[in-house]
Amino acid sequence: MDAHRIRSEPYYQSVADEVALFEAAYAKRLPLLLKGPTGCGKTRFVEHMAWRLGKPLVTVACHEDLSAADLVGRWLLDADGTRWQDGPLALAARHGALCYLDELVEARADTTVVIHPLADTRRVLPIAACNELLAAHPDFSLVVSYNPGPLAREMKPSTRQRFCALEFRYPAPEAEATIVARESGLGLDTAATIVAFGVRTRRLQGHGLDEGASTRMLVHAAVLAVQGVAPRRACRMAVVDALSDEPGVHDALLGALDASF
Amino acid sequence: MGSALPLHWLHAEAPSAAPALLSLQQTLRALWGLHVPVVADGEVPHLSAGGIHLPRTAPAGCADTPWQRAAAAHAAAHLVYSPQSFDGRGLRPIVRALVGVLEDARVETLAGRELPGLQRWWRPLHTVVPADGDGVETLLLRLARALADPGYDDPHPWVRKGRALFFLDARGEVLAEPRAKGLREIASRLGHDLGQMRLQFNAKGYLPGPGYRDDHRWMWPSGADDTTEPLPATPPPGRSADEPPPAQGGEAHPEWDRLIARLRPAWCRVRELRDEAGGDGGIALPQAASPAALRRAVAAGPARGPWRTELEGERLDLDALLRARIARRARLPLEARLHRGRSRGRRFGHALLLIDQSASTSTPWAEGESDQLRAACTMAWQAARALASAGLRTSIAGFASNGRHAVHWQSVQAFGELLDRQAGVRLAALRSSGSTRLGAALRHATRRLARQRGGEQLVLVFSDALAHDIDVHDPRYLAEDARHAARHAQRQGQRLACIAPDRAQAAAARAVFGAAQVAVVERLEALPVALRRLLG
Repeated sequence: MDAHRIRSEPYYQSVADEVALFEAAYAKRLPLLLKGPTGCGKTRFVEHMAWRLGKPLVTVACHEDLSAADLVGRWLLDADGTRWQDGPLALAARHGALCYLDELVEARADTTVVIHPLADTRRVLPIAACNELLAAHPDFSLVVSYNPGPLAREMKPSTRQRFCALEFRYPAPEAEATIVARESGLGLDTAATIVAFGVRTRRLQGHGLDEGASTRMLVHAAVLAVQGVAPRRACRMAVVDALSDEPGVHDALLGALDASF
Repeated sequence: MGSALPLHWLHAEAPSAAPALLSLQQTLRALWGLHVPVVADGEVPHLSAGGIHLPRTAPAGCADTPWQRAAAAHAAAHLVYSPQSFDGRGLRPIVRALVGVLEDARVETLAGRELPGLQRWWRPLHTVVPADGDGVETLLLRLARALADPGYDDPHPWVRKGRALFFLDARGEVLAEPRAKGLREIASRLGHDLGQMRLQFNAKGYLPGPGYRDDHRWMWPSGADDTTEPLPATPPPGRSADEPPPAQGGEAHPEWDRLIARLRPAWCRVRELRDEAGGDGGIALPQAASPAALRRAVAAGPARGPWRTELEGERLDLDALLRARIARRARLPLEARLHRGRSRGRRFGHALLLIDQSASTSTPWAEGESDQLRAACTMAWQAARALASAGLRTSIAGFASNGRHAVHWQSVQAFGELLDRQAGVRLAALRSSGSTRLGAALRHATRRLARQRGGEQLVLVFSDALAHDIDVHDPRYLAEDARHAARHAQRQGQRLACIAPDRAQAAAARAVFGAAQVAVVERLEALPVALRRLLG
């Protein structure tokens, strides 16, 4: 599992009591559901917590073709015959890692059902293909994320009700500017201007945009600015042109950008 | 950020807005979170209960879009930073004019601090120079420029005094009076100086300048000023004076208002009707020209559902390959299914067929033998039978409207009912009348379909999708509402498709449903091909 250990501290700016809540849930191995918009820091938070707890982290980016075998494992052939290969979920459960299923609702409902026995008091993973009932390692814990936006699929109640939830939002502008400055190396003043523009794009959510600029996008803009691109041009490239192709919304974003710098 | 002015946008009458103005509206929403209509219907920029009014074109020498953008941003800055009105009691006209100039400069300074780029929008529009003269109106313009542009150095002592009273610093960054209340004192002193200079001020003909600035009619609502007009109490957008009164009953649905870019909650009422008095009437039920072709067209569902191991497929199945290899080593029979594919098994779910029965459907269908409504009924009947035989539960309804409170939903077949002779009689009883409030009908269909559980959810609309109604005069209003309703349904996971009766008018349907979801059927024989494309 060494490959899954996080060697250095991933930067994460705490915005409330989420670190303490995560630690409390982990102490009792309660499965956690992280909800929040795209690019607000959910994955970084999990990386930070894995580092903080000193546990390996196994991450799976879920998608609609993800099968139960992709999570649990499968038989493989080698020179000596067949051999069982644990999937990421079994690997984490067997060796006591944090298993992070990113955007769980993207996986089909019948695939997500395999996590159910691991996410309640049983803490077991039945592996029918090799006739094994894998009891989870005492350190194993399950964390899933999803973005409950307007385009999101609904999570099945039977899955949802196995989790405690932590809700993430974009940080307050001052905190977000600090994050953008820290992540990019840009000066705090310019980072604050970029963040202020990002906040403006979020006002169009539900009014032409499904989501406004994420913190990740703003970091991209700041990184471009550090590379010598003028901040306004960097925001156009990393935010405006990336957010929308719809002419009216694009023009509105350009107007907001022009006014912001 | 909320507006300080008491402007009631939701009760505003706003004529249709050009795309550039809608985009401008969105820009103001992004800048300050304002939900304010921007309309081009005035002689001069002004604020009213209807929102921000701009001239249709910019003054000569100015490009329309940047000028309108500057004007809208200035008016919006009043909404954000100005008080809801000023107390004009006891103020001479010149002092009022000066308060206006100072308030314009104050809100622009505050807005420019938050949004520095706005100054680039406004400053180039200040073009007055000392050579333009020393009349009162010109001096007011010169003062406005001196307050707006730190790079402009006006030699007139009165203008310089105005600038020194307004700003605490030479760079024009620190306001002497950050609050509007304090401007009265500065204006009084500057007005007194103009009086000492024996300059005449024509209050009747005065308009604040430069031209992108609004005319300040919102500032003095006390009535002391002859030019003040009260905020009009106007009906909401798209609503005419002859709108029928609200009807009781029915199911309420929201409607998308493109001018304010938001849903008006519970704006329309859909009333379900059912014609049970028809008997069988000896009608001949529509017969499909090629029922087998129709059944084949809809029998195979879309490629969805779980991946399965198939004889043929888009990719190799890793687990199947491993099983085959193991079987080969063990000298066991080989399984030939080595690919992964998505099943196109028997369909399962619900389909709602929606027939536009507005007055326009009485026009002849392409072939001329029947009208569009009869053709739509025939096609809906045939499609419903084919879908039912493919395994879907079907429902058929017609719709027409007579204003937003009276969207009629004529049920022909409900989910769970047989597609029998009684349903055929109800279908034959549909008559062309009324208008097409397509968005409300789509929302009602979406809601009814969402109550059905399991399988695919399909709405098949027979319509030209030219949305209109008696209480809406903006041609884009209901079209955009229909598009919004369609998009909402698609986000719910429902599949929408439209059979349009006329190639010449299919653009409207494509705009609502998307090009891939629209097929034009001008001959009954073309129905199977259309259904295969839309539903296969």
